Amino acid sequence: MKKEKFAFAPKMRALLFAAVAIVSLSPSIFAAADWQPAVGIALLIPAIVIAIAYMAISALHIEHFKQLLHDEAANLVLTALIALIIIAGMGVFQNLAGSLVCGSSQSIGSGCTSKSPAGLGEPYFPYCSSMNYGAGGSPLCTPESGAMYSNPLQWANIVNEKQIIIVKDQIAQAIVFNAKIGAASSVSGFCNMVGTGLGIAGCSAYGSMRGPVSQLIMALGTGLMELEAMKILLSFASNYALTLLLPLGIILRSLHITRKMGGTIIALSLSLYLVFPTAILLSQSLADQFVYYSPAPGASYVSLSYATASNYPSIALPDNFDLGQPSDYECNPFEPSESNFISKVRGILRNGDGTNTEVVGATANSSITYRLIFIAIVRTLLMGALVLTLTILSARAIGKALGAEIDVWAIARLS
Amino acid sequence: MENKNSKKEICRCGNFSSARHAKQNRAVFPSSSEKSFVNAEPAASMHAFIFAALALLVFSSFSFALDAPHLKEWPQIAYDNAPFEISFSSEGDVDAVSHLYAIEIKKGADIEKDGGTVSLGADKESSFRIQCTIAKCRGASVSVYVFALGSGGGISEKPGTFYVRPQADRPKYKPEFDSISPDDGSLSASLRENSVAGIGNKKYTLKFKDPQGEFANFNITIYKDGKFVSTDFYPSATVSIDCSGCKEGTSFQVQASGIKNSAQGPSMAVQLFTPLSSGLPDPAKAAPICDPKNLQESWLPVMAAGFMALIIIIALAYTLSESLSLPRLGVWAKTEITQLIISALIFALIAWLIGVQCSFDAGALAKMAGVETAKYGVVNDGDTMMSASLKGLEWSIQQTHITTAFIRRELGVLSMRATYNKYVPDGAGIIGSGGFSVSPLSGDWTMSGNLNMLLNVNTTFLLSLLFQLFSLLLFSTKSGLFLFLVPIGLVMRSIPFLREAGGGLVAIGVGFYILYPMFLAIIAITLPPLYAGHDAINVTGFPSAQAIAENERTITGTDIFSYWFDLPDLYKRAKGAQDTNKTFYTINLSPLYEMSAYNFIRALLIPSAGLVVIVSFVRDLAAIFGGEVDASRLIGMV
Repeated sequence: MKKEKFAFAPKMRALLFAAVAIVSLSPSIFAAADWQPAVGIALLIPAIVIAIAYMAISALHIEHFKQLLHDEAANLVLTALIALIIIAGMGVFQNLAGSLVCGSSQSIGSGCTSKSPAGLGEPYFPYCSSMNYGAGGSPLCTPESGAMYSNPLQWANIVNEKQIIIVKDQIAQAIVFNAKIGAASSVSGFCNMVGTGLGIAGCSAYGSMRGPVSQLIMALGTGLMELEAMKILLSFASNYALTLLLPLGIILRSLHITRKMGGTIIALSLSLYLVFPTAILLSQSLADQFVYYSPAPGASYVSLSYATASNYPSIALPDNFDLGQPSDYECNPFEPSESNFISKVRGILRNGDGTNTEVVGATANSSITYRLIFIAIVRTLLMGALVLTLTILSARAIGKALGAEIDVWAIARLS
Repeated sequence: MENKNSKKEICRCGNFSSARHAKQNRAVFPSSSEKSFVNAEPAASMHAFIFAALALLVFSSFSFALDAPHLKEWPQIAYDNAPFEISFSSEGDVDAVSHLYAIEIKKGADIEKDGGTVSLGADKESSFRIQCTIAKCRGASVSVYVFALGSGGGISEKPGTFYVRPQADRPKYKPEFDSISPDDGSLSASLRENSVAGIGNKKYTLKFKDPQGEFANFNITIYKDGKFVSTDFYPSATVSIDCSGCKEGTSFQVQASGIKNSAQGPSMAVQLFTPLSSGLPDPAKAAPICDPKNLQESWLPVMAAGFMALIIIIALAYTLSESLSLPRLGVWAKTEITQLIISALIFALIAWLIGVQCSFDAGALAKMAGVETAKYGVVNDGDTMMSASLKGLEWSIQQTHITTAFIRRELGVLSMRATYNKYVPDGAGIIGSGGFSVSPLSGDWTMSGNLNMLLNVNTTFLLSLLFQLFSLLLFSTKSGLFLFLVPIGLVMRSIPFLREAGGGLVAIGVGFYILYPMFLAIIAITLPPLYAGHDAINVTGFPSAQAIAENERTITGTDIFSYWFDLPDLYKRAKGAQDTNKTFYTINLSPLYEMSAYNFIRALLIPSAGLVVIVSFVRDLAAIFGGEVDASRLIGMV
């Protein structure tokens, strides 16, 4: 047996040095975020397996498999580099997210009365955006809370929760309105004499609004489903993307037969943890300028308000319908008022006037249709599709960079 | 009061009872020929007995009036088709050994008479039970006369009389279902909507409970496949159901009613079903291929035969190449023997992977993910990948099923509410009237459309989950396709022209046997913590969803007006804080949309993502094994 047979090849030496380096650096890894030790361990396991396999192959003189192990070692080094990039990049990404919302790490302050609060830097999102405020209207970027909400995932969760509350409220408004429409449209009159007579559903024209309201509720409900699904996915990403999926992906990527699967899992975990919440923030930032409070600096739109009980078309009904008389109802079935009915229909389906003030104005008389369509279709459904598309695109791109081929559009089709 | 020893049970069936009742009553009172007293053609001895009794009655009214027994207790109200009890006692200086009684049932012009003797028990009391049938007893008056037979006996001073009322007038109390458990101590069957599906060929103990402690005893009747089996009275509502030897699709119906104050309440019915068809996979049989015998019995013969055939072919080829000097044939033989060895190594690798999967503790995996399994109750420590994946699917299926059941019920409620119509006369007289009407809840029609949509999507989610369950059973169990795919694939990949197809089969087999259960187990571990507080039972807005779902069939009950006078919280939430006027309570759809979103995640989105990963693995593995799998087709299954 020749002595040089036991000499490690340069690549293998490099690999073992890398393994030793990882082990020696592990205290600093463990001192970092709670998910990083799992990644370190995920790298160590295949490194040890490869080293043992190399020893065995060298001892048994199975030269045929040495090249295979060299390739595996090279891939493990590449995987380790990817892990290091992820660990380093995560901090950079979170700092970037923090600067996006807080603008040069400064506080926006409470309230939203001024377009340009004095002494503040320029945040990339609107000053008075809902995104800058947490529950109860408290600003997210105070020196105390700035660090906490620099995590885009937590931030996206807050934004999503607030959007869920808004959509739920819109659904409740629409349901109550629908109940009133149903009651109003059912009022009918009858008159009979000696067993013969007539009946007339003089208010049934109000029923023509049922279809649009049903569609509206359906759109809002579908939007709510999407937001709730995002909520679960955000929770999934927060709990498992880095602590379970990423280490699992790294281990699998280190093995030859599971390399592409590992790359796929890494891509999905990173997309869920980083791109998904960021896409939610991006979509909200796009929509926010049209919806909330005062306009952002430089914005050319007056923001749309939400539909509330006060700006829905009112339907007059007695408090207790069992004891009501025809005069209590807005519609008298024997003498239905055409103009009264039309004003209600226009309240739902009103077109914008020449100056567009009815469309984008924030007055109680503006069309609720535009508000609701914006909330249901644009903000919730369209932006939801945008979020999913961005997430899937990133998963595909990251997966491709890691050597995986992902048919992610199968997931996209589900939406 | 009750004296069991002296109790006499009488069957009132005969010609006016249905055949089923006759059979039922025969089972309750086995010696019907002896005890039945109302027949189309009473036996001659019975005639003689009745006449003797009446003669004795008349005679004794003069002789033994002082020591007359009296009816101690009889029901003031009796009900159709329900047993009630009559008790006598003889007081004073009576040395009676038995009571002679005569009964007269009178309904219009029809009069029926009967009688019998019952032995005296302790305290000189006796009692007997009578059961009226609908045809004869409803609206009838029943008179009972009693004698004390023996020295010093006498006749009762006056008859006890009571009337029989319709069954619908019975008081609204009934026992509740408690539990059902196999007698062999295996896992208890669970009750769902008063229906136990999937009972096996074994004996069960079925219990009802009496939470108020109000019943003297219980009447339990058992039907099998719609046919009467038995009925009896029990001091406690525990009955044995013998399903040993049950065929597929056998059903049991067990009815229990409580008896209180000698009157019987309505029945509580429980349905028990055995699996409908052997064509449907049985989760109970979803055992992984962990027993070495499974491999030895199914894999080894096939593989050994295939490999032996290949070795013989290769040896022949090599021999021919040497003897006929055909070097190309020799090269082919050497190549193929290498591939054969590789196939054997792949087999060893798969066997090892099976071992890993069989020994992997899902609880340990949960700990790695930071999940406390005991807190959520879906996966437990010690679960294998297969059992964890089955539990996870059952959890998802149960939650989705509750959602669909709840939506179905609400659809029914809304349909009824929407029809409510109020007439408000403005002027009314003898010859005519006028006014207006309003259906204040007709907006519920619109809600029905939305609920229909939700029902459709949730049904799709449920079907998706069932598809996953059946896929798991089809691919990943010891009786599944795995046993076909892998050995056949390994043999095929050892044959030159079939190598590609064989490699593909092996890759699919490994992917769906090794990885698919692991992936489903990961879902079972990771999702329940995220759903805490958001499952179908606890989701905001319908805290009693499960209870409502389990009582779905009560929607057709008679208490229809409760649907708008006593609405659950779910309806009231629709109003929110904007309007304190409670006139227009209607259903709030938001919790149902929320629940549907959660079902979407667990039924479609996460499984789809997992299948993307698995298919990616299968494609890679197939390439390594020399095969090719069109992954997009597999993904299309989603």
